[in-house]
Amino acid sequence: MIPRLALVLVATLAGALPAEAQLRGAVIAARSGRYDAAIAAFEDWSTENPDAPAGHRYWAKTLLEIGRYDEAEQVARRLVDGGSPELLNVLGEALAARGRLDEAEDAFSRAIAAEAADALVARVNRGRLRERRGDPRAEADYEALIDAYNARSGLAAEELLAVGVACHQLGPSDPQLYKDALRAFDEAIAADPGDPAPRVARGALYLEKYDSVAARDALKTVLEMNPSHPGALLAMARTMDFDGDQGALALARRALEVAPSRVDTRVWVAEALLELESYEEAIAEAERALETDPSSLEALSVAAGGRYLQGDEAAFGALRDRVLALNPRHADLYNTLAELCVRNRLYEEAVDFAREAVRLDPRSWRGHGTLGVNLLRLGDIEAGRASLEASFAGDPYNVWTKNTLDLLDTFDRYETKRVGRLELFVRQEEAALLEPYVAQVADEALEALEGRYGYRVAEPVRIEVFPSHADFSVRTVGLAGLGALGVCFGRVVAIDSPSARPRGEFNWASTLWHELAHSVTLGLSDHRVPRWLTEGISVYEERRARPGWGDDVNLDFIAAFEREALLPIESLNDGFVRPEGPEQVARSYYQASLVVELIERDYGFEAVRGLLRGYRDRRSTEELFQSLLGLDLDEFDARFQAFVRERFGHAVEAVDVPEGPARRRHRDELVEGADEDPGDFLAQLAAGKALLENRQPEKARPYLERALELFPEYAEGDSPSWLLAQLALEEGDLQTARKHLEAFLAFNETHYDAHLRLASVAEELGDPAAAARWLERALCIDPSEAAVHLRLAELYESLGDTGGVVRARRSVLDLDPVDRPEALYQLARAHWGAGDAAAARRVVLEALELAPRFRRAQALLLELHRARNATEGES
Amino acid sequence: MRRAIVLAALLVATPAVAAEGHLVVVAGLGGDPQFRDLFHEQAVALASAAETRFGLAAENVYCLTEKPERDPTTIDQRSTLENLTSVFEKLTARVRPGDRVFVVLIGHGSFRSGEGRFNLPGPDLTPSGLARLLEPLDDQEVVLVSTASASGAFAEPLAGPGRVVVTATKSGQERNQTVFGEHFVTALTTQGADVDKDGRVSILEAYAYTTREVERFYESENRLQTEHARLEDEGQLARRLFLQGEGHGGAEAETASDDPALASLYAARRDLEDQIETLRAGKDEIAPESYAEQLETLLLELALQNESIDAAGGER
Repeated sequence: MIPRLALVLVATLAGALPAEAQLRGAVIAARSGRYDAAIAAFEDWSTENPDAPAGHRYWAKTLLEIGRYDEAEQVARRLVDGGSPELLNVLGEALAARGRLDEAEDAFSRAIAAEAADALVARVNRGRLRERRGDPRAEADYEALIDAYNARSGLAAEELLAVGVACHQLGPSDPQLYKDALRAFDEAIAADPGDPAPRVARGALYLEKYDSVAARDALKTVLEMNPSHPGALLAMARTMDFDGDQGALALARRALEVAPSRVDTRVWVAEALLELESYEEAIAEAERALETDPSSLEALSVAAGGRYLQGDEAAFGALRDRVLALNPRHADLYNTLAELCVRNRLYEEAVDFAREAVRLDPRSWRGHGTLGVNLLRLGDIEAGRASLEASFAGDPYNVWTKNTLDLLDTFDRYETKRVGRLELFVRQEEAALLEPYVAQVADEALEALEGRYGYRVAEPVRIEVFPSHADFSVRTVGLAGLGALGVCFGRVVAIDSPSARPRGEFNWASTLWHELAHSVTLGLSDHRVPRWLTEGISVYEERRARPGWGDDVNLDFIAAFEREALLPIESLNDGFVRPEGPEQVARSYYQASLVVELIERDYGFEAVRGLLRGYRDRRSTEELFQSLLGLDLDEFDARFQAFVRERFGHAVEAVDVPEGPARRRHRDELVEGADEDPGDFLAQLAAGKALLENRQPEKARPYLERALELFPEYAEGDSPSWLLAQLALEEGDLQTARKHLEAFLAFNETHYDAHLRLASVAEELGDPAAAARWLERALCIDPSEAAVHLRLAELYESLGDTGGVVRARRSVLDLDPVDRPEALYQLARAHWGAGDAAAARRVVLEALELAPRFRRAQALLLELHRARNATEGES
Repeated sequence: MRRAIVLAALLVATPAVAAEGHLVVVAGLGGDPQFRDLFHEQAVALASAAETRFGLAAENVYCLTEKPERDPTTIDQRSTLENLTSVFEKLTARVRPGDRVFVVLIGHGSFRSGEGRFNLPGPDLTPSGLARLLEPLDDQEVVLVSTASASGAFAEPLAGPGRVVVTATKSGQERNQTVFGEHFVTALTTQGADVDKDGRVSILEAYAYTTREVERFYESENRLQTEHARLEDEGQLARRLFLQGEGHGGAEAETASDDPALASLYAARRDLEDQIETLRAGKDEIAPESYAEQLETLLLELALQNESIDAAGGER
């Protein structure tokens, strides 16, 4: 659309005279972030040049950049009041920033009419102002810039920037214009390489179109030139947030130190705080933004979001009405509300708001996208797909939408099956094997959790199981690479299939239990439970479900406790939403579960339920802790510290985790260290391991036993209990092996081999029931080993558990064995053993259809036939 | 029923001299001890099973490995090209028309200058070299199995009438170490691959078992599958070729009897089996309920027939 232009370099102030040199110095100071020096220099220059527009424009622009709008207005008015149209546009910008929209529009219109040097800039500014007010004439203003670009060569840098902005604003109606916008920004940069504005605009556009790498590059260049540039700092904060990097909020706060009145920065900070569920703080930020610009649609929207999340319907309604009074077509009000709801796990509300957004503006691709993704989260796949397709048609750069649509294209390879109140969605090739196990665990979890919490999850409870972690990740967040194993959207739960990850990385059954606990706590609290509490309850409920399930104490937790690095309750959400690192997330899960454990132990389970009901009623954490526990948050934190010390004091005493990587030491040195400090867990463990590696099991044993005594909960792969179990197995001491294996698995839910070994040991010790139990637990890690099902079938046969035999034989068959007739025959026998002659006959005929000469199957068929005849004869 | 009696009469009249089976199993160059051991174990397992389990005459089984001294009772010679050539000379002299010859190559393969190689101590075996060794066996049914990497390069040059060629890889380009061999040997030496439950493992059954287990191996290891087996079987022989020697199970043994009563029972059974096969072949053209009913009736008759055979002291 835009013809290629000759490169026009604006030789700004080149060949300067003394006054111009002074001005140049001011501009250089401003562009390098020395704002105070720049402003002082502008003032000095102005004394000698009171009527020169270019310098005053720079001066006013500098003031605008750092949010000193009133001063910018004053500078502009010096010339405007003297009759010059050259500062009218800047005046308009200052007025618009303070929400004085009529005056601003008038100033822009006058600049355009007077054909001021920056009339094109005024044109784009007027367009944006009109767009902000829902005035359809905005489009004509933007189009005028493109016309000007096409008609004229030699546009100045700021004009090229304005053309880029116009193209950007028109992008929703023609996505190709985003490319033109980028080109215009590039030409603006070429025309004036020192001006940060087009680089910031370029970075922001890249980020808007989901290319954070390119955005980062553009912004990095600006911040190298001017580390204090408020716009670049904010855009970089957004970029970091997009990438999930730490420090985004801190960077935005740095931008506010430079420019405290910038509305865009305050609004972003407010949104980030809402994600942290710090509603009051967020609303305060939004209100500060509104002090600067009472008509800021973004600030009003985020304030409305805060009030909505707080449950203050009246304040929310008033703010919403203010936005719509300013611009009745402002779909982004609802987009903001929808996205805030998503961040706070209010998916149904997000759908409602997104629907409202696309009703107000059918070209709100953002709204269509949010609507689509959240319809999927609510289990409405077809409607979700339709919305995503609409979104992608208007915004083909959206990688989330594209990924999700690609994933939806694979959904025909999944099987949807209703089992009681469950709706299971499993890949076809895994469905037969997994569905019975998933249904069994889900039914048990729901029954246990719903009974305990007194809340029934709405039907159907949809459970999606993805054999590819990347697909699970896309289903969850639209992108591959999510670290989680499962996700809960309410009555829709998605998890990794056991085949999605290498064996031993996770326990699918405990993950499912965890997610279904979310279904209950989200539902009971009307989705208002804070993240820390819902995670804490889920982990705690995992631990209650089976010994060994759920997170347990580890070295990192003990070290963090020692360093006093555990987060207080007030900011425990940060550990999930804006963690300092991945280890803080894991630590926060465990910490939150201990908080719940403490509350139940000391205040009863009713207190836990009371918290959930309290959040449902929109009460704050502080208020709830005070009313239910009789403690303020600081008092609770102190109590929690005492609880951790009580529970893990022995480990705290025995564990001294080094800050950096441990120095590699020789075996003798390790042994010596362990002898010198017999109370040091890590020293004992290291010595024991070193001696084991050197094939000195007898020497290793006392060190490992001491380590076990010091920190019995330690359950990593080098746990003393695991190592001692192996020693006992090598010696054939089955009783000791069993003791250590049981101790190990009391804290470890993912060690597949340990489960199998314990099952073997139990079987050898004549305890087939325990053997079967441990094999069933192994299936919770990986159900795809036919040999395990075969062993289970035999164990259940010996125990007379006919149902267990049928299930195990069925699983062997579901694993698609090469010898299918044999598997069918065994299943038929199992059915017959369980008294189900009809099933036995059906299955044995299946076996014989494949292998008519199968003599054992023939014998069974005859047996079944004769039994039927006998029964019929009797009757 | 009259047809059954005629059939039985024909079977009773079958000539007494039946085809024999011959096995040449070669464990190639191992390269390192781990593979040397693996190839040795697979070769010995197969050769031993051929004699003890499948009843091949000892003089019909040739086993060549890299270290024959490890098991001199089973292993005949070192697996050099020269020794292999000499084994084939002996074999050619022994075989009779209609005999079955199984050649199993276990080891590493490579693909250089457009030609596949099976790695032996000393000069390697190439497809053209093997073709020359097999050339005299044109009156026999020949099964060639190569479990080696890049063995797909042997498939096309050696395929032809009267031959079944099984290779662990689809071409010479799949050059990674394979796991085909261990599963193929397992298939032939255990009952897990006998999916039609006739008490024998056909080459086709062994192939199907192995390809499935290879796939399963790569899936469970979460690895990209780097071997895709290939079966060349122009004459549809793989389904009816077994490693078994005479008198070791199978339809021929079962249905041949000097006792007219048993022969008649066998014939009746064969008739039922034919009817079942015909019914299965037409499954898509019959209403499901009718198919199920007919199938159950035939299967029950077959089961009863086998009871009668057992009662008459017939072969199981």
